[in-house]
Amino acid sequence: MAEPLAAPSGVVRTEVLVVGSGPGGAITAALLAEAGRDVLLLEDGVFLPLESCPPFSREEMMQKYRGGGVTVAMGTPKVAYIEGRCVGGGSEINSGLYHRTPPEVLARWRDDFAIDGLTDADLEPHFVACERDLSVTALPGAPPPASRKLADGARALGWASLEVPRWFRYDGDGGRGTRQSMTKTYVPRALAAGCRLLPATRVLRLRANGGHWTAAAIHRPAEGAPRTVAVDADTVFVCAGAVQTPALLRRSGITRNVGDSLGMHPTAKYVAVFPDEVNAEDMGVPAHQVKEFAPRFSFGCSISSPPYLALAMLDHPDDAARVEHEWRRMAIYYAMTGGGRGAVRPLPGFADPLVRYRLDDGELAEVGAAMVELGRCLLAAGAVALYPSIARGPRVTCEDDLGALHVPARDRLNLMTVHLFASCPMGERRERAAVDSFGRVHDARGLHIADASILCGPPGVNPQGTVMALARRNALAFLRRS
Amino acid sequence: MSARWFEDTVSALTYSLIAEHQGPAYSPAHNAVARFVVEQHGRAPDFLRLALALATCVLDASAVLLAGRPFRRLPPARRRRVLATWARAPLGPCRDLVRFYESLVVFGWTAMREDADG
Repeated sequence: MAEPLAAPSGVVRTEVLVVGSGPGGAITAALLAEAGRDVLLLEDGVFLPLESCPPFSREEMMQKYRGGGVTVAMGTPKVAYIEGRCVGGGSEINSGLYHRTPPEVLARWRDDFAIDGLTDADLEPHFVACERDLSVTALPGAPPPASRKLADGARALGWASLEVPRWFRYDGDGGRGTRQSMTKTYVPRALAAGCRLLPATRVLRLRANGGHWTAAAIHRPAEGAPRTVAVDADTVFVCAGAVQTPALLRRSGITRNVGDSLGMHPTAKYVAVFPDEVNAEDMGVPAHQVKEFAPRFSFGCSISSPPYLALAMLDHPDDAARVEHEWRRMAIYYAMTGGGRGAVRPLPGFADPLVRYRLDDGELAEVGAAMVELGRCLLAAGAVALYPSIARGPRVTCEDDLGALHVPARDRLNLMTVHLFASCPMGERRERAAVDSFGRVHDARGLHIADASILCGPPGVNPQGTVMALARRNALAFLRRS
Repeated sequence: MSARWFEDTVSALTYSLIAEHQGPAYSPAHNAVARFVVEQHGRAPDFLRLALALATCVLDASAVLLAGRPFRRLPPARRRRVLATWARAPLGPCRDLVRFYESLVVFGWTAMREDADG
């Protein structure tokens, strides 16, 4: 792994400052550095190899999750959310499931926000390039049994399901593969092209300074006291994710349409119990998804190791002990919806922003509808018991039991998400958008955003493919202009 | 609020919650789980960290009214009664606090047992 920059002192001068090294920031830094630009990449988290801990483990939570994974959007119901905080960002901790943006989603964003250059044809070369660079490919062998159950259920009901490709390389390692995260792909490319990387460095605020931008940051080395770092840049790309990007901009006094329209994929879950074994120590990430109801909602299978099963069964204390002896017959499935709207606000006196999220009654009913349909699918696949993510909720053993889930109680429903976006949407409609069609912050020359913030709403699919294609498109547009 | 007071209360919560979830009364892993919970609290967003510490203080103090002593100094059976009262409280933040600790303890305990089993 390439070495990061030693902590600088005084004012660091750079042509381009990239804040955040997740999928948007890493590809931006790599493309600009490869084009000969002087690039400095700052990352709030530490620089660890992908292999520093087992995937989806307690160690990974401690090393690479923002807030140790103890992050929640306030509301009723609350939505627990997960973000990466390490070099590579979310790509280091996610499942690696890849989707292009559905064409109907792009069409809706174009119409609602007046976005230039966002047709399928416009994005096609960027999808192709990212798919090549990340080795997006199908699982080489048979999918795990828990994953196949979802496909079985969909088939029994006459629904469409698919095996989702992932950014994984399979080099004769028994089919486990290696996730092509940013520390495996674009970060090394950026460093090889001369990009400087300073991890463990949090940007506190940005200030316009006579045609330049000044970033005030704090660097926290592994040993020794934290120290302040100042960066002077001609251009800044903020790529800190859908929560941290609007928080930084608002701390910097840039507030127009910033942090007012946070979106996410609120996700409810079931623990399903089958008569046969579906789980194993090395099950890995199941890759089937049911898209029959997309873009309203879709279904998939989650990480289902015993710690996650035990966590999920907290909603059902009377049956929680089943995990101990029956975990091999149990797996976790999710219903991913797209409703609700949230806000991100810095809090005076605190470093971390407050995230709020609200689902109206119709959106809550949509979560209920998604749980009912997922329940039908799992029962059709042969599940003998389903435990929904509702505190002391019903144990579902037949379709009649699903009726109780149509309108879940707000204060007992447990939702989570790993997809956050749309907090600084793009477009030429200045009354709604924070950035223009190519990620330039309106009325802030030299300031760009290149992360999930600029999406205009729920993509209905895992958003990393969309984020990377847009970041590539916008970085190349920047290079052409300048 | 001293770190020692907080760690003692979290340790008491950890032992009680492991027992509540069919774990043994004591094992070498108990203290490791308690350390994990304290560390995860330390990683939480700062405003949430403060709110959780204050709520933990209230839980510890409430046991004086409910059971005659601070939570961290109660015997296991009386701790369980205090926890059950908080877990069923009409106030959401009381239930949320128990759920927060329960989530970390159960996840940490199960993960450490899984590690020990190889």
